Amino acid sequence: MRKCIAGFAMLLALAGGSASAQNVDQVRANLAKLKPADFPTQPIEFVVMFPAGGGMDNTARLVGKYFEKYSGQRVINVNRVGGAGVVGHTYLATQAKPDGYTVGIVEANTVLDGVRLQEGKSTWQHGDLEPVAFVNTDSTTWIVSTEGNLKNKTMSEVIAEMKAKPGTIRVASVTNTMLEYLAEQVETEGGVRTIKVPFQGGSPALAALLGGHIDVSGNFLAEYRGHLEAGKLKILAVAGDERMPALANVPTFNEALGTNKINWSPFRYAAVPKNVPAARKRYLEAAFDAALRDPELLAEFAKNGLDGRRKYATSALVAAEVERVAKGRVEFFSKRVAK
Amino acid sequence: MKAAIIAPVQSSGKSGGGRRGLALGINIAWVLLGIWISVLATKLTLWDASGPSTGFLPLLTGIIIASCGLSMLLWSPRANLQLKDLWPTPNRALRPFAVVFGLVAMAWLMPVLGFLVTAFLITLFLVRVVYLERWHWSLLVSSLASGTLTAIFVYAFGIQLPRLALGT
Amino acid sequence: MELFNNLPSGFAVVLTPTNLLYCLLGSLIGTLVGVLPGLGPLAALSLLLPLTFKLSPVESLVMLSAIFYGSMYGGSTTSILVNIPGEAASVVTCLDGHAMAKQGRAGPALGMAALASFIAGTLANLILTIMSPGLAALALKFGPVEYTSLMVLGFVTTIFMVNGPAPKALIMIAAGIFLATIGTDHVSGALRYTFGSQNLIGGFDLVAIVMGLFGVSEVMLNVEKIARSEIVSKKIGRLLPSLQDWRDSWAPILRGSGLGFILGVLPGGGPVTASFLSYAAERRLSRTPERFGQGAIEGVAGPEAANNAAVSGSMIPLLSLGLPSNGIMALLLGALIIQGVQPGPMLMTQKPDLFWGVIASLYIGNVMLLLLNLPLIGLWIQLLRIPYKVLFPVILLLSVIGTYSVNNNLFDVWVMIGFGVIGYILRKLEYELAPLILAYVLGPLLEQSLRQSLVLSSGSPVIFFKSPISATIMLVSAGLLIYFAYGRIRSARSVNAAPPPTKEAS
Repeated sequence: MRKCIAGFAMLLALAGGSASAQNVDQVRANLAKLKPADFPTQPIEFVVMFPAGGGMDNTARLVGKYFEKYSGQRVINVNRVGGAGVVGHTYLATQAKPDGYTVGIVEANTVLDGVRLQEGKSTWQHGDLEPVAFVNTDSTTWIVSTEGNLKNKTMSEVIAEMKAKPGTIRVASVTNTMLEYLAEQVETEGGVRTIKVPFQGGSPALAALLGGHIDVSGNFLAEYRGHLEAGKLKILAVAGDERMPALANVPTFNEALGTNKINWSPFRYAAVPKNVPAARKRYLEAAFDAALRDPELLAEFAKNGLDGRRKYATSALVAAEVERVAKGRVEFFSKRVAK
Repeated sequence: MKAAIIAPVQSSGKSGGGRRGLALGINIAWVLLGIWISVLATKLTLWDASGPSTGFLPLLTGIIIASCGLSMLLWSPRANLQLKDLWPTPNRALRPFAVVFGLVAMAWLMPVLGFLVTAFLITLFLVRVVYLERWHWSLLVSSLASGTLTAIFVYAFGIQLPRLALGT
Repeated sequence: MELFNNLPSGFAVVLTPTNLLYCLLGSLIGTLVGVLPGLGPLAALSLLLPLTFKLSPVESLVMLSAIFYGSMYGGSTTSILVNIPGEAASVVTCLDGHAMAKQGRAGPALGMAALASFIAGTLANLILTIMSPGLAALALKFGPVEYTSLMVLGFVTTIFMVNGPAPKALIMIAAGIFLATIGTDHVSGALRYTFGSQNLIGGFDLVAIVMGLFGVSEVMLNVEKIARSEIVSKKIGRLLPSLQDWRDSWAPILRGSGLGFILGVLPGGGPVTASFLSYAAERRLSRTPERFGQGAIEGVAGPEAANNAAVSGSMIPLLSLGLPSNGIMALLLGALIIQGVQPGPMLMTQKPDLFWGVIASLYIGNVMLLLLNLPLIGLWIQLLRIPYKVLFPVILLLSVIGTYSVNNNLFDVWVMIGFGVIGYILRKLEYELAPLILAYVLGPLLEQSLRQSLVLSSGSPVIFFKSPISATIMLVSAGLLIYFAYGRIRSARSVNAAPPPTKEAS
């Protein structure tokens, strides 16, 4: 497995390998041409809605480092934490000055949950955060312990097991996150019933899985890579539209369940408040694009199972993808309320 | 002082006479708080298939608070507190309120004036008003305190504090 | 034995000038953070995280962990001298430490705090070195069911930790649990008591509550009483504890080390719980429990030993499982991941230099801190020898900085002010505030694990007695409950017979 991940990282490095030192200068020069005269004259703030040290924070800091490399502008990471991310998103959408100095590093599902959690009282909508660049996607996976009851089973066999013994397989769920929605959707799409055990986060769920207190846990590759390499875990399926490049032999939930509705992948992007002057926005877009094409950055992403391939190269494509995610969620939640 | 944190608490039992006022007030407040918590808790789901649900724990705490408040209201010894015990030095009784006022003003002004200026003004206010120091001494303390803390935390530690548009 | 190859290689990693420098730097910052009220290790570590990007994984982990245990050393200084805990794990040190300082025995209190920390830290490191792999396996056996019984034990201890009228203590505990329920219910996802406020969706921040109840209200009480600085005008005296002090303290130190270590390993535990439980245990075990709160040196030695041992203990789940057992460890984990190191079962074999290097640094850091703290204690005291009229605005500004910088959210500052006022009123009315904080921390853990267990068992409470670990802890809790209740009734009778001497409220 480790070889596989390393191989993927190498592949990416090779793909971007043409970006030599001279190329970096070229990118910098192109970027400088787009730079408005009056912007930026002070450090740019990357706003992260989650605490320092978390996955979002790490991603933002990495991107900031390469943003600095190409733009030559200083980047400051600001963690605006509170209210399960709602406080930070509200700040970005309604309070931050639209002068281009405040850029949020956000994730589509948490943005949408931010609106949803306020139960109709939200003063902003996801469209109020205008995307400037795609950052990366992560893949939610289901894993089992190599010492548990399900160690020899594939995803389809696990579904069959759930059908045969309804209400016995213990699946970790983290309330109000994609892990909960994923577990629910597997139940509805697969027509099965499980015991959904609520945890406060991925780490405690992982510990419970390793200790044999639950049968299936939902986690991201970065959280459990060490255990995977140590042979303590096995991946059942990934909750993306397509297989993860790093884990090409792991099926998607859609393949295993014969549907196309299950996609709970974190989709991270950079966003600014509305009404940022067009020239500044264009400069930010170009600077992010330059940073996010850096082969070293992509290799860093790949090491943690993050996919940074530039499938959404323009901000319009990012906005369209966010809309698509929003639509899928509306469908999911309308069914959920009806139930 | 020390008793306030965790040590055995015993009433000082100094003065006598009709001393119910304040303790009566707080005990009534506990009962009302407990009832309020419980009433709101009953609007949440109390029990589901697997056992206690969202509203269960708040309901329990509400009931405990209300009943403990009630028990103190009914049975606690009359050796309660008098204003004189609570504020032994009336000439300094306004100082704590000046502290709260200072903090409230700080929370209001910080986003507008930035940390450094606000800290300077509030410290000046506190030292001048609470301890009635002379102006020059107050000015010295407040510039030193706000300047040093900004230097340590904003520049050395790199903490994000509200800043004025012009740098700090 | 493998051990005899590994540990020396770890020392070889750490004993380079740069690594020693970062260890020293971490120890200094940690002590400073501990001494300064209003800035806890959690806030300090998250602030310093960006500094570690440029360091190597060994350097950054060595420095960050030194900050953590350094703050445990420093935290006791302000507790003893000013009666303000420098950080949460030193809250209980205030009780007897400050009482000792008032009796003119600040020196031995400070000395014992440092020595107990050193002994416990070193002992815990030894256990960590020897048992690391085995203990990690044991910690894994703790699932929702075992957690629930552990939290039940936690609450049983809390209830009997407090003295004074039972209704007051119960109100504080219930209020603490209630405050913790505000926000999103982590089990059902429903909102509780948020009244449409987005700031309340995630509940109150612990730092804001602690700063308000212990920082702001303290200042409010002090300004009306103290005209000039009373705390620091006292002589510290000689630092070394007397032979009698050692006789009183050696057993609490050993017990504190063991207790702290175990609580550090268990997820959800940590230095704060460890120090509280150690204090409760020492008071219960003491033949002269009435000395506690009046300057008993055991009440300093036990908790200070426990909080330091807990730091070493919490390294076990982090390094061997990649699982953070508390917020600070979550930050250390984040620091490692930034460096591209994934802590886990493979760490020991894949990166032995990191694993054993960090463990070796724990030994060295403890020696450094002992040397820094005993001779340099004068320096830290100089920091405190400032008149109160200068000190109190600084404490207030620090509380604002500390509270604000955790989340960069002004709402937390308002929460702090609110709890400052509440704390002031409650202290005036002689309510104890420590149980409220403990309940605030333990309450959600109990609720979560209880509901998880019942989901697993489809509602049957029998599950708590099926697991041997859980059944044992439940029986211990029940036993303690009966024992304490019996003791309380008996002491209540004897109190009625002979009223206790009244104490001047200073």
